[in-house]
Amino acid sequence: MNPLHLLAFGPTGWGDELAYGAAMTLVIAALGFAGGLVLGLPIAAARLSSNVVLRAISGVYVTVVRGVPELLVIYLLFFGGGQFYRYVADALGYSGAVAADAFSAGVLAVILICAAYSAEVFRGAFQAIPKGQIEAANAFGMTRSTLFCRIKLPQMLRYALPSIANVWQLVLKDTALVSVTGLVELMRTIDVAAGSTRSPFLFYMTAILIFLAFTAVSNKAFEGAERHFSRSVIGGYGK
Amino acid sequence: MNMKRRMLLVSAAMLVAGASTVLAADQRVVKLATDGTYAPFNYTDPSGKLVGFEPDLVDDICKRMNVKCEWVIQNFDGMIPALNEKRFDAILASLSITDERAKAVDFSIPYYAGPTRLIASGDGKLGQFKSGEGSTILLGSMSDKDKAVIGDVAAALKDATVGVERASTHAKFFEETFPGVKVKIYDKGENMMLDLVAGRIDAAVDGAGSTLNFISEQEKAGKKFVAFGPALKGGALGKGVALAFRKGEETELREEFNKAIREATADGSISKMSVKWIGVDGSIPENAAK
Repeated sequence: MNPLHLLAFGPTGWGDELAYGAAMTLVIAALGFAGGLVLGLPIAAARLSSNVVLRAISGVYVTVVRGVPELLVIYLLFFGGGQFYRYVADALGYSGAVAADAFSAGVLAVILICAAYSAEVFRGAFQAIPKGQIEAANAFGMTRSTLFCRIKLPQMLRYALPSIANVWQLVLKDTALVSVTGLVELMRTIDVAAGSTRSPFLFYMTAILIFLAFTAVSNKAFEGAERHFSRSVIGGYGK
Repeated sequence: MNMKRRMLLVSAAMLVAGASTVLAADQRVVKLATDGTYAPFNYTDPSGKLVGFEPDLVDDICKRMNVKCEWVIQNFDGMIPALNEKRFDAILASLSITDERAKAVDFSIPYYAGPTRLIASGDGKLGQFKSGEGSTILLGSMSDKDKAVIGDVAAALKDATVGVERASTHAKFFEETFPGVKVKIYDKGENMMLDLVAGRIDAAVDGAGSTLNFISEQEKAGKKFVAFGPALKGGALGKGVALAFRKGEETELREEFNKAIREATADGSISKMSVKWIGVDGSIPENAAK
């Protein structure tokens, strides 16, 4: 019997379940990545700030989140968060049942992790901008916002992109950890299918191919983005 | 139909309707967690439906308890923390009773304990061994007849090398039950079975379910293997699998489940479901006696 019939779409095969799981993985990764980048930028700004308090808080955040296993962050939000959510709900005057649902806890965990890593990437990228350019901009009398939008941000993005691509891959793989909550994303679907059909090899290989396809496509996209942000640099992209 | 009779019928119908509403409203909901990846105990068919021995068991015992049982699908790794988070009332997911787990949760009485078998090539001397065939021996409470059968098995194994798996309860059980027999310990069951096929060991100790699986697979490849001697349970082989509840809570609910498990064992329901799904009778006769 051809084992590939297990991957068929429809009620007899796992194809449609895998497609759903893969879509869920992409949704978690995309939301987590977007949220992480948005949160990462102010954290990077705080890290570079002249304010001691902001610097200390952001420093502790990136150190702690990057320093503990990602799985622990997910456990904390999903399983350990119960009392905390209760406290918040009580403070807001809400007395109904509160519990983290797997999807929000998973996305939030990925956001928090991604924010810590991307903040460090952004910080490094800001620092890579030659000081002379900032001085020149100041000498031209640019305002702080013009300086940020015209000089700092575009160049920072160029420096940050290769490492941000790295963070994206990290995020994509972290979604697999969210499967401990029972949320049906790709890894959980693969586990269920492998155990239920007793064909682990087939399904784990399928998972590898799907994840590789995701990273191959996103690598191409990031290459395009790097080329775009390097278009005005003498020597161009890749030099 | 006269008026009086019609009235009677209407009021009877109302009574029935009233009674069934009360019943539905009274029915408590019990949330049970499982993993859905452990065939044939609990697994998922491609349409997403939970099937297996345990879903059938739950349908049966929840009917006896007159409660409505709902499944919560939860990854096995996060199951005990999620239990303590009150995401469900109990775990029913082929969770074996161990001393370590008993510190974290309260177990019900076990509902299933897979028997352990000795397996050997059908062509050799052990393959012809007949004593104790078809019987099940409870290691914790052996009769003199049982002890004689175990003695026969020990004598047959005198010059043999027997494979056991390290992580299972088999190693401890084997050394206690058959002291002096030469043992080879394996990290993985698969490697043990490969050595058995290659003739590097004369016999192996394995769970009844996987033994059946192995025998039928070898048959397809044209090789004959047999499970010999009695099926073994209890004692050092462990207590079996049970429901787990939050430590120190839900004592009443636990007692209700215990009662239902005893009833389902006594009338042979668990035995039937076990044979249907797993191919062996893993019900625990001691449960029925209590």
